[in-house]
This record gives sequence, C-alpha cells and structure tokens, in this order.
Amino acid sequence: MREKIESTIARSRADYTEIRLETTQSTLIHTHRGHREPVALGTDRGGIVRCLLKDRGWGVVSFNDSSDLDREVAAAYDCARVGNADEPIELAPVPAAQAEFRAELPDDFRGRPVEDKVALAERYRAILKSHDPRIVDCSIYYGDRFVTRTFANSEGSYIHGDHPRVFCVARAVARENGELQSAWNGLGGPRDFAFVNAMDTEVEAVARMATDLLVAKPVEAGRYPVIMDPELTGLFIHEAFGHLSEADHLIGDPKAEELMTLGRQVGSKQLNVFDDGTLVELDGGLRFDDEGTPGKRTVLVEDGILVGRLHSRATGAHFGEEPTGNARAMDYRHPPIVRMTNTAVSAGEAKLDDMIAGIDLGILACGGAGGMTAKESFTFGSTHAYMIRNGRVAELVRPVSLTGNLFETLHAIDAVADDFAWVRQAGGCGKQGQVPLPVDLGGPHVRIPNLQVGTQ
Amino acid sequence: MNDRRPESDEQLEFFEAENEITLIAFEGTRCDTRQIRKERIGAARVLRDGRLGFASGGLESADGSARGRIHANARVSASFGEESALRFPAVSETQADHDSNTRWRARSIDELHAMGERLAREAQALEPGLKVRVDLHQERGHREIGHGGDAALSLAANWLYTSIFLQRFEEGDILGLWEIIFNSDTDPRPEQALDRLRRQLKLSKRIAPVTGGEMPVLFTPKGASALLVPLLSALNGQRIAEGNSPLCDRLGESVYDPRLTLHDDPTFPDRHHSETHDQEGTPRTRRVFIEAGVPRSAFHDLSTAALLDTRPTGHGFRDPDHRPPAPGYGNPTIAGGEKSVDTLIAGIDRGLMAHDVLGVGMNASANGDFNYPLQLAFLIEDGEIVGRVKNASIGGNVHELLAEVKEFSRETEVNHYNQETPHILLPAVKVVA
Repeated sequence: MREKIESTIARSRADYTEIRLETTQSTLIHTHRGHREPVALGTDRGGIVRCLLKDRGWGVVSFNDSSDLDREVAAAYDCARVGNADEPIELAPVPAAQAEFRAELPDDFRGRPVEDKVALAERYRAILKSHDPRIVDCSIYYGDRFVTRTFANSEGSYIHGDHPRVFCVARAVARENGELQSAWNGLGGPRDFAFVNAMDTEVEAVARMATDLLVAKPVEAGRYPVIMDPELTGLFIHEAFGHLSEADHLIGDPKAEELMTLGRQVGSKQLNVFDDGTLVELDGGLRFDDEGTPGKRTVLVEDGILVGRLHSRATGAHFGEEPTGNARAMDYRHPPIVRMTNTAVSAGEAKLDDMIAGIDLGILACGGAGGMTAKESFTFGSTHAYMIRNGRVAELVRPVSLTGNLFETLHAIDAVADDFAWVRQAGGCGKQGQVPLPVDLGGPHVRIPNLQVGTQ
Repeated sequence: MNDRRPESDEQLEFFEAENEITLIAFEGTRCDTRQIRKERIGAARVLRDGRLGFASGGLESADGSARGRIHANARVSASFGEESALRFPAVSETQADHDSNTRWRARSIDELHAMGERLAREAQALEPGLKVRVDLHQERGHREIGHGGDAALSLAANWLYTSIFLQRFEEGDILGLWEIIFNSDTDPRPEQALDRLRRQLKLSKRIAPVTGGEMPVLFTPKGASALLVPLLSALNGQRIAEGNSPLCDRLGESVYDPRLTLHDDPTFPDRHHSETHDQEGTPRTRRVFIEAGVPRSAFHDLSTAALLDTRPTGHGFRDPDHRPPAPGYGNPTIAGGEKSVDTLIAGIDRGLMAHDVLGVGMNASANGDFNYPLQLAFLIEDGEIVGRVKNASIGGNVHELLAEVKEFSRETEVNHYNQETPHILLPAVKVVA
C-alpha cells in the first residue's frame, strides 16, 4: 500500500499533495432505564486527498472506495484549479516525518468480547436504577473506537499509526412533583477497557446528584463573585479563549487579529494558558497532527500576556510563525483545520479555602454543561453549583449559566488556585461541522469577583 | 442483490446511502478550499428470535463484501439484543422520489463557485467594512431502504444550502448577523435574505439602553426557535418513552395557549424534510402534534412506537447516515394568528424584540427552564423599534410561557432550513440586563 500511495502522490500535478487513509472498528452500547438499544457495531474505511495549487487554493476529495487513488487525486486537483487565491498560499516548512506507532493497551478493548462491554453497561445501569425510585430515566453510553490511519505527502512524510479511544458516560434524570433534574459524568481517552471499567463510584455520584438537585433551589439571577471548578475553568478557557487562539479565524478578520495580537495583555497577571498535544495519554494528545507536524506544547498566555497562537502549516506561514501541530481532522471525511488538543489554565498559588473565605455571598459553579461564544461574548452552563455564604461553601443550587465579555472576565480573575486537574471528559469539541473531536481540558479553581449568573 | 436477503430465521432491514456533497466557503470574496465528499454508507438491522441488532459502515467495495460484513455484524449484535416488539413495515419496490426534492439540478463546482462569488460580492456591498462569510453546501443523495429480498424503497434528495454570515466591527461593538437559504426546488433567491440583513444592519446602528425586569418580548420567527426547539424536544418520542419529558403524562391535556397549533408537513416545497417516507420506510403525512394548545402526540420512529405500543409517525431519521434511526422532527410549523407584525409592535409600550439568542438547545433544562443571552435584540418603546439591545439575557420556562401568549402574528417565515413560525408575543418575560 505504501508504494501505491507514494507513487500516486508522485504523479500529482499539484504544488502539494497529501493522502490520508483510515480504517475504523467501533462499538457503541446505549442503555436506558427500561431497555437497551441494539449494540452498534461499526466498520468504516475511507480516505481523503488534498491538493494545493498555491495561486488558486486547496482542492479536497474524500471517498470510501480507495481502489483508484489516481482518480481521487485528479478530482482534488480539479477542485483546486477552480478558484483564485488573493495571495499565494504558502505552507510553513516542517521536516518530512517517517513514523510508525502501535497502540499499547494492556486491556485492549478489541480483545474483550461484546459480552464484557454489555456487562459493564448493565452494571452501571443497575447502580443508577437502584439508587432511588425518583430516578425515572438513566442512560449509560459505552463506546470504543480503533482507528488505523496512514498519512503521506508530497514532501516525503509517511506516518502510519493506531488511534484508540474508549469512553463511558452515565446520565440520570430524577423526577418529583413534575420537576425534572438531570446529572451526568463520563470518562474518555486513548486508553484501554480497564480505564472505564471502574467507574462505579462516579456512577453512584451521578444518581445522587440528580436526586439532590430535585430539592435544590434555583439561584436568584444577578451578579456574584464566582469560583469556577477545574472542569468549568477548562470548558471556559477552551470555548471562550481557545477557539479565538485558532489562527485560521484571524485571517481576513482585522478585529480578531487585533484582539489576538501577540504581546497584548489579555487577562490578569495571574492567568497562564497552554495547549499541549504532547500529552498523548490525554484525549487531545497526538504524535503528529493531520498535516504531519509533530505535536507540541504551546504557551498561549503568560502572566496575562498573549504569547502564542495555534497554527496549521498554512496559518503559520501566513503569520510568519511556526506550525504548532494543531491541524486536525475528525475523520477521513474532513480536511484538517486548526483545532485545540489539551488546553488548560495553569495552576496558580492560591489555596481554594482562602479564595472561598474572601466571599460573603457568591457562587461555586461546578462541571461544564456546554457553552457558546460569539467573539467576545460567552455563555456557559454548569452542571450544578453551590452558594458561598460568609466565607463557606453552603447549599447546593440548581445549575447556573455564566454570561459575560471574555476579555473583561479574563482581566477580572483575581485568584487562581494551586489545585490543577485535567477533566478527562468523554465529550469532544465542535468546529465547522467536525464534531466530536477528542480534546481534553483542565485547570484549577479560578475566581472572578463579579460575573452575570442566571438559572438554566 | 443476494447479499441483501435475510437468512431463514430472521428479518433484515438494509439501508444504503450514496451522497455526493460539494462544499465551498468564501471569506470575503476569497475562496481557499473547494471540497467534494463522496460517501457510500450501509447499515443493517436484524431481528432474530425477537432480538434486534444493528451495524453500519462504509461501503468501500462494489463486490458486496462490505455489505456482507455489515450484515454479519448486525447478526452478532442481535445475539446481544434485548427482546424487541419492533417489526419492520412491508416495503414494496417504489421509486419514492419527491418532486420537490429532486427538481434541483445539481451544479458543477465551477457553477457553484461563481454563484458563491456573486453572493459574497452582493453581501459585501451591503455596507462598507463588513466581514462576510458565504458557505455553499450542495448535496445529491440517494437512499435505499428494504426489508429483505430485492424490494427497496428508493429516496432521492438534491438540495443546496447557502448561508451568509456578516460581522460589523465598530468601536467597542461587534455585531454578528446571519441568514440561511435552503433550496431543493428552485434556484437560490438571495434577495429576501439580503433585504433582511440590510434592515437588521440599519436597525442595529443605534444602541438602546435597557434595564432588567419583566416585560413583553416579541420573538421574531428566527428568535422563536428559542421556544420551538425545547418544545420539540419535549415532544420527542424518545424522551416520552424514557419518562424524561415534561409532557410525559400530559398528552391530551390543555397545556398551552389555545391558539397554539404545531404541525409537521412533509409536502411543503423547498424544505429540508419534504419527503414521502422517513428513513425507516414509514410514509410521512401531515400531522398535528399540538392542537389548540393540547399536545396530541409525540413524534415516533419504529423503536419508540414499539416501546409505547403506538404507531410510528414517520419521524425515523438517521443523522448521520451510519447512525441508527432516532425520532427527529420534520418541517415543524406553528400556525399564524390574525394581527400583523406591525400591529403587534405598535401595541408594545416598552419591550424587546428577540431575533437571535445564544445557546438554543444548550441553555435549556429538561424542564424547559432557559436562560438565553440575546445575540440580536431590539428595544421597542411607544410602538417603535428604537435601537439594538446589548448585554442582556432572557429567562423563564418555555412550557409556562407558552401557556399564555399575547399574540401570534399573521405573517409566518421559514428559518433554520425547515422551521416555520409567526412572530410570537409573550406578555411577561424576565430580562436581565
């Protein structure tokens, strides 16, 4: 196959050509309170070709049938020649890579019979069902996916590697007097079966949270001092700041470029942010991105000052910066675009107890329930929250939404705790129709003295 | 076709999709990437000893080996399946092409490029200094659904989806506006969308200060998705079957304003889900889900209908094609009222017009409680729109708010591909500013 791929690329008339081929095996199990959906067994094969004509742009073709790669390269070339680039598209140089890597999974999920995976889901379902009669619905999602990917380009790179992923999510819905509340938690990563086979305590906690939320009161909407837990800190920095750091957004957008000018003070001096693809045991880790650039650690914010941005080879060349190994594609149907890997706020020096002690009336917002941003505006939901009263964590309250202006909020951060944690969540990131892409996020507890809080 | 035949002791459903999708994006008038995505996807469900199995995958080869692998996996899956009351409907050999969904003549990549470039220039000309993005997504799709043997239902759908996104930067202010144009029948007619964007740009020039509190909020048809999406979620047969919808035990009760009627019509031309059958082969017909404020039925696929011992409603969709079917909504439509939009606006002493909110489908709980930051909203004073509102959000409970609607406008409009609603005026919505 290698010879076939390389000879096809050699015949391409484009200035630059790359081919990526994938085979995938997957299992998905979804149980509800009263029934289990059929086990979904997936097998998939496909590929994608990208051709670049520097004066015209990219042509991209994806396909399932990879028997005639010359045909696909010719089609991609035809797509490339249609346009006219305003200015030539250059690619920042990266050394040609030759690499082959295999997954090392002590408890390889491919070696586990489907019975074992069904039994895991059933064990967790039983925990949720038996917790409390008010749990009217519950679900367990178990999934595993093993992708073998081959990448080659016209600059001599040839990379062949395994990309495993396993995840499990538990969700419970409690109902009483017409009131519904839900809670969930999950784990995911490039790990083995054992990674998700010991979540009993976490699953029990999900059921407990759903029923506890039934009696929790909603918070009175308004402005409060807010402490975000590591999960919400990670979600916030990923959604509100991380996406702005993706340099493809900045091209042709003078305002965004101005907001993200290197050297600009974007937050308080306590704020440090990084993206680290070299952490290959985390969900966003990668040895090479989907352009063949090695994974890297990129510091984005240092002492509140913007010092880095995330790049593909094209955006790196455009801005005269090094590619950062952030060109990623969800699967063979998609070309790589600039994406985060493992993104987090660095640990600070404050103690969480001291941060709480300084608040008379405030909110400890916990867990990330999704968020949306529009340039500087953001809104995020927590999965649950606690009131802070007279310097102590008080009663549980319903999930809250946090709304504000990104840079005002980053500047307002007045304490960063020393209790850093990765979230190791089971979800993924979405951008331009490519969702869910595995990423990880994390951080410590972070305090913002005055933030708009609403109920969900 | 032999590889589609069931074994003697089973029922087999096969689903195969062949799509060619062309994607072109313009940033300003610059287009860096053109993509063609060719997909051949297969999926199978097997009922064996009353147990249901599912498998899917790419159909990468024409010799039937990929199809055989998928069917074999579905049989393995069935051996772990639970007892299911689901039965596949009989499907006869039918060319079920819907006129409106096959009339679209697919364009070459050169034609689409020229179309996008022209639209990007027209959008750019709306106002100097705008940042413009135009996306074109053309899909030529063909799907076959059968339940063993040679008989297959053949569904074709060709369409073009165009989106225009504008950003205006002014000192301390970023304005974002967008419009979607969906065509499965006629050529794109962007004039209406451009007119709406032009009007919004004009109305947005002046920033109007607003203070919080309860006030009337007029949801435009686009803004009404903030109410419609949680409502549709509560009517999803999956949530009803699982017991986590607030409408679980309220079907047949008077829950909403008696003027609220919601139906689904698959016969509208130029809508995303105008199809004769759903993706399980169940015929689709016009159905009323909320009638005069009374929720009558949820929307079901074969599985949820079997779970609740009711009939499927033709809402089994696969999104994307390799996933198992699940209940989804088609072309949801809220009926209009009697008064014009201008009359509704003229009757508001002080309130908001909500046109676009952030977080629909995300910032709403299972109960229907929501808190949406306003992405684009206008202040209405003494019956006139006086300016754009910034940094405000609205909150409440969708089901409680729709119990008391002040007015539905006479005019309706289609947004988000397929959602048709009037303007909806709610008398008292909590606004945080």
